Amino acid sequence: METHGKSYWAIHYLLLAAFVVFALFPLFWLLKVSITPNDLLYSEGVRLWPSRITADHYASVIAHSQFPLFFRNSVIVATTTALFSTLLAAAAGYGFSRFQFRAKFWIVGLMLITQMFPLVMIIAPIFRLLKPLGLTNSLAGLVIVYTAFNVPFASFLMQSFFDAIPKDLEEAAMLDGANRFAAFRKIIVPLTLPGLAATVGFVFTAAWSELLFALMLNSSSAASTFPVGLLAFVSKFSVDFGQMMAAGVLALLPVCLFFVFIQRYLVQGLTAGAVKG
Amino acid sequence: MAAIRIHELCKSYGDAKVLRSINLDIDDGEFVVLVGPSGCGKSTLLRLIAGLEAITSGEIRIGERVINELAPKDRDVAMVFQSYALYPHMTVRENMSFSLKLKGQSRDRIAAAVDAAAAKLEIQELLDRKPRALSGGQRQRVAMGRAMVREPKAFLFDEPLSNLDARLREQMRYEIRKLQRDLGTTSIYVTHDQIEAMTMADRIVAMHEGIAQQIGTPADLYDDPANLFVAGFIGSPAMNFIEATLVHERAAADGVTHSMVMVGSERLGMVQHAAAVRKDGRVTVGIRPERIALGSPAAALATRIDLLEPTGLGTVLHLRLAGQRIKMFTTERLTAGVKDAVGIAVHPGDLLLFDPDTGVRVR
Repeated sequence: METHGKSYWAIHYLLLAAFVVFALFPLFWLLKVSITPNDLLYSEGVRLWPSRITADHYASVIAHSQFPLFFRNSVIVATTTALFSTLLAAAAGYGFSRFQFRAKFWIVGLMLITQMFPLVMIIAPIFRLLKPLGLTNSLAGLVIVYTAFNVPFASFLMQSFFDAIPKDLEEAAMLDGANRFAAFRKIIVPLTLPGLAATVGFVFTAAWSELLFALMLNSSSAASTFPVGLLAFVSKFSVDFGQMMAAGVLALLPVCLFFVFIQRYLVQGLTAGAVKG
Repeated sequence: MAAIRIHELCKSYGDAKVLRSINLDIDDGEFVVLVGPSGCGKSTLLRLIAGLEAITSGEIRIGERVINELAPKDRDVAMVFQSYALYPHMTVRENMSFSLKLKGQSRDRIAAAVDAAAAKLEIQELLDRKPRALSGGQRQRVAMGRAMVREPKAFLFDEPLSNLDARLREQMRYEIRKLQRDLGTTSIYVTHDQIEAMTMADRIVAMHEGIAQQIGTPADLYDDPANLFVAGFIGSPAMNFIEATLVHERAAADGVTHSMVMVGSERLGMVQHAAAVRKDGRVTVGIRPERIALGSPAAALATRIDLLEPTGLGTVLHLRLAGQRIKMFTTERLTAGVKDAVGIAVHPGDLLLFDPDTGVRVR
């Protein structure tokens, strides 16, 4: 193996550190503004840390705004979307990975095409479709739209995880007395947990932060999700930065918690030892 | 345990014919090895028997039952895969119990069966480990154990030793064979390694291009090959094939023709054959390297040494006989070196004749 001098590693870590600072700085600024009292926000100029901190913004967001409602809506929409999408994607991905069937090429091609257009183009038709069905101003409508748009990519993601699992394992299970579904449930699913977790995480975050459809399809605040709610802090004459940032921090929490829970499944390598010596 | 009967079995993928009219009767308790180069259809045949691929036409019976349409789980055969295919998220014990659990057997019976198999394979101390914590040889044993606990009608082996190093392979070869004899379970074993086939098989099926070229005991295939493919595939160093001409000498009363085999101007020996050869008398003559002897210079065929390969056991000599390359194997210690002239002698009874166009043996 090649060895490197001290200066190499110094530059190596310096670059990494620079990147981490660059990536995390907006989050830091979010947190900083959320705890800065309103009177200091414009008076103190640009400072890394305010001279006084306050939890007022958080208190008023939780107690005096509709944010808890938006938050609840977001949790419902993102969780349901993640579950439905992952179930469908796992089924589709397994099919793509293991079976040869007629029109497979065209189905995969069509799914790819759905990923190629900017969503703005199809908002009007989707609104026209959902309106008569009573699915505008409803959380169910959002879940359906999000699921439809996330399933193609999630299917390809799941397919790649299934592809990584040797066919021999299912065949061994099928000879051991399992039918295909039992082999899938008892052998393949446990081995695909990291993939399932990654897919759930991916879909959850996508649905959690989606703004465009949430804004266009749902005009009543009863069915709004939090990204739409954040816009409420922008009024005609001013922007309440403190409360907006506090709401943003609160909205980040579930995603962070979620990733803390699934990160151990994200660690790959479970299939190591399945085949060969 | 059961006999396996395969009748006129064919398999095609689209237009590609992978297996053509395979007929094979395997007796109860027999160990049959399917051998051939990659792509010859041997693994496909095994997968058809296991039920992992659909049969195009023909019939497979295990015992009295036709199993063509049966799902793999209902065929009661166990398979040992080249990759071992151990379930990585289960311990060795769970791996071995899996099939019995699916059958709904009681906890005590499962534990007893697993312990008995583990004792036989000497893997008791591995039972609580996961596959990734095992060496290649240990995984191989666990895969065997998983097949054994089920007491299936037949074992199917798909190149189970090809991921092991040479020393371990030799040892496992012996162990698998011994285990199979003890259990008396009908076994079909796929390999591309002719040594494995020769050492393990009761009977060998030599396969090439989807056709069973010859079915017989290891000695049959070695001494009495049906065609050029079998003659060339079985044996190492491989059989010599020499382009020669038969000079018709005389026909005996019983329909046997006696002919002289000529290689260039050298006379190889007098052979007998009943079947006709090409009009121009061209034949391919096969002779095993170890059947060629160093001869006394006067009475011998003159050759020149191209290269020497000492193997420890003996030496492989690469020779030139009338412009054609041949190999001989001798356990004699040699004094001759590269480029030296040596005389060789062959026994006419060791010369096998093949049709140079069809490759079929001329008897």
